[in-house]
Amino acid sequence: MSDNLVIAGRTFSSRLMVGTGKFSSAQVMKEAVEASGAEIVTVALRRVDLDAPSDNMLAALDMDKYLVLANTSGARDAKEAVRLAKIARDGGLPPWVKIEVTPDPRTLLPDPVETLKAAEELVKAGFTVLPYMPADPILAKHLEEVGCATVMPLGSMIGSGMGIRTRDAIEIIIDNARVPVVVDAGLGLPSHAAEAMEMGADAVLANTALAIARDPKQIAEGFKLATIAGRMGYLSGPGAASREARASSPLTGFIR
Amino acid sequence: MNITVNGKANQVDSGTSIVMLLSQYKINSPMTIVEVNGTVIPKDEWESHAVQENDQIEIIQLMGGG
Repeated sequence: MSDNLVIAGRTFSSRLMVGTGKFSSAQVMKEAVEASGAEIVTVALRRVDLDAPSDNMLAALDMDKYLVLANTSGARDAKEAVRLAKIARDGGLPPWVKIEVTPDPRTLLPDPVETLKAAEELVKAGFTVLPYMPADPILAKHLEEVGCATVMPLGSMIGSGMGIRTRDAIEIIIDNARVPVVVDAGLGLPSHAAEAMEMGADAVLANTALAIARDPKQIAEGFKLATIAGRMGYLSGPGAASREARASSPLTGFIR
Repeated sequence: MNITVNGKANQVDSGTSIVMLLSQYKINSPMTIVEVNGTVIPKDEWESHAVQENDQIEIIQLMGGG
């Protein structure tokens, strides 16, 4: 069965994207990313700490095997996000960007106004734009209209592991979308990934859930399988839930 | 010669290239990006690009992120 994810004309066989942050070591990160089967991995940009330049965790990854998607984490407004995206591209990464504009450090919720502004500008500058966004169906439409390649509504707050708390809104976004919907943020367990995929999401993105698990490699494989399982559930056209029992054994010929 | 690197004042000899500057800071990661006065300097120009007085330099690294 060929069931590929297509983003901006590029084809991916995995519907799980993973982040590379917060792992305990480069080796653990590498093993988890490989076990996840992801083809798209996200990275961040930061100033080097000149007093203590550290070994780079990413050096463990074979960067040619993945689409390396820079995020704009740390950006507090559109201007900062645009600057980060351009630095990443000019520094040699592909012209793809995951926009993250999160002015409130406590919630890290995405700023809808600045995200839309950044998206519009980066699309015009030739980027393939994947915006992390609040689960707002109207905003999703606006982002699509300015030319975003996907929309990435949050399930719950970044790193919270609370799962999909925005289900109703994400269902509307999926119904309306003409670009892939990637559920990002808050997925703490493989079952959360499966839930998003069963709802009809085109892909999911996980990071913290992998990085903080006792066994990142194993949970990464769990996320991989759950993403596939959820997708299969969605594609199979499952029957609706019912408030009454529906017998699965024949209701005739009882031996009494 | 006075320059600013990652927001901190620094002094270097005139003629210092980007490569020399990075080695002063013991930075050798292939994931490094260098921006001078708002413009990213391509890696193949690091050898020849000499730092100028009052340059605002950002040494940036790709890092793990979500």
